Amino acid sequence: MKEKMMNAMLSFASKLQTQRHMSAIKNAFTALLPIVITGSFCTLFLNVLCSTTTDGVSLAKVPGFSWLENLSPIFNAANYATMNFMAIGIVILIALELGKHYGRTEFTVPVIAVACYVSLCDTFTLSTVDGAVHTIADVLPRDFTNAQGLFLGMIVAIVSVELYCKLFDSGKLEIRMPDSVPPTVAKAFNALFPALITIFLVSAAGFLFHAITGMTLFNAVSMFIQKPLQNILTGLPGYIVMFFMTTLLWVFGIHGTQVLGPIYQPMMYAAMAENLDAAIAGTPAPHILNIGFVSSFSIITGAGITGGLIIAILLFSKRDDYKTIAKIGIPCAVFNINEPLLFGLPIVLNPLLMIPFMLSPAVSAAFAYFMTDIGFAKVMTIYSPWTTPPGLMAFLNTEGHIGTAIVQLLCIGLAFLIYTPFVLMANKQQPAE
Amino acid sequence: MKKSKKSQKTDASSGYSKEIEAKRVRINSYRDVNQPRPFLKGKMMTYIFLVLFPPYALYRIWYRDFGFIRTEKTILTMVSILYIVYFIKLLVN
Repeated sequence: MKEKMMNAMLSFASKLQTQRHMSAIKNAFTALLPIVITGSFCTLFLNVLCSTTTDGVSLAKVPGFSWLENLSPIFNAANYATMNFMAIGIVILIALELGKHYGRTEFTVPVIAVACYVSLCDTFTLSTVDGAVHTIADVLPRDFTNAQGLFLGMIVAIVSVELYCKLFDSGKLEIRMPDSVPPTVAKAFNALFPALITIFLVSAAGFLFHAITGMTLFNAVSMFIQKPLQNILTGLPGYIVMFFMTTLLWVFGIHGTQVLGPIYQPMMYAAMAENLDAAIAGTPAPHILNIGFVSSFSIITGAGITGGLIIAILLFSKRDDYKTIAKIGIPCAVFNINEPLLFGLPIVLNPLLMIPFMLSPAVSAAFAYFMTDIGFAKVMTIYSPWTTPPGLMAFLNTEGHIGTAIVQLLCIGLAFLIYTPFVLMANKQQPAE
Repeated sequence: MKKSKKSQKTDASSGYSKEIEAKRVRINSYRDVNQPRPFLKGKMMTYIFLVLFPPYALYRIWYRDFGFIRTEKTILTMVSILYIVYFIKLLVN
């Protein structure tokens, strides 16, 4: 029974890992990661170096450093170019990645995907001047280009590339050019009809949807898919279930974070982007659970918070094999890497250590959530790289909040308490051959 | 009879174990050739120049071999151009 379940789970993980859409989403978010981090750090510098208007600590408020305010356009522009164009960025990246799977590497593919996406966006925005509402035409509102458009962007990118590639590969829409025409020109003409039809079909679908339901596709996706999913994953129960699944995959020896990443990452990035927007606007950040929270409290010192296990082993283990591996694991744990422990002790397929391994991230997340809710820790608005050492990571992610850094270290302490009884039990076991 | 049933069960179990092990090895050895590696040393310096001096970042992206794949080149170029345009707009205003 146990083996049947394990087999089924491995089959599911294998399918998820090699599934082309999931793979495209995963690679797109990996490519987007440095841009999100750059944007986050620009917001951090903007607030702690250049801002004279925000409530928090800023160097520009110190007498003699007010000139720093002049540097704010640099960070403002960087923030605009990175965070405000997340949806467009993801459309381009997914189209490029999915195009590769079909052998379509030309730039026509992302251009078509962006055109399809824009065809579903409003091209006007409402502005209130002196109490009167004015319509500004021929603009692309930022709601469609920033993280709010992520989900529709992902769907449109996938649908448009699938459609375009199917039409192109059918060969029925090919335009036969004379031999004298250069191959590059002929290739461009071959893409003409598939591109036209793809854009037309997506645009028509958006129009029909609006005509029938009175609601734009953007609003429908946002209301019926993105928000409910976001509410599940950025709510504590959904979040804990998701990370329970991640660690469950890890105990079967599968990189759970990579396999399930494409499912939770879009929501977590969107939550982080909304928090960033709120931080810039000077309003409270709405999402406690976001991508910064994931790396700060759920995978700190590695999946399963194995930093706690290292401390427990060094203090209480009588097994030389455990102690040797724990010592090797220390430098890696500082940078949140735990493969030496996962495969060295091992934790993978270890019935004893898998229990605290799955329990620790859930307890840590619940504890950090509670501490943030009561105000001891701060909601994260910055996303630093996942390899940033514990303590420093939470400090940076919250624009320098000491309480959050303490909570992060306390989470490792909690993990230590959870792992200790199991390390004591392991003392009674014989070392593996 | 009892013995043969037990041996059949063991055989099935060992067959499952082998299948599971094979799947596990296959999943972990799976390398996505398209997966970008964004945190190489040369690349990280480029991200800093993206904010400090985008033209040099563009030079690093397109003319120096820091391992940027096509997807990364495209998105970073888009960000650089947006950054330059918005920065000029901020300065002019």
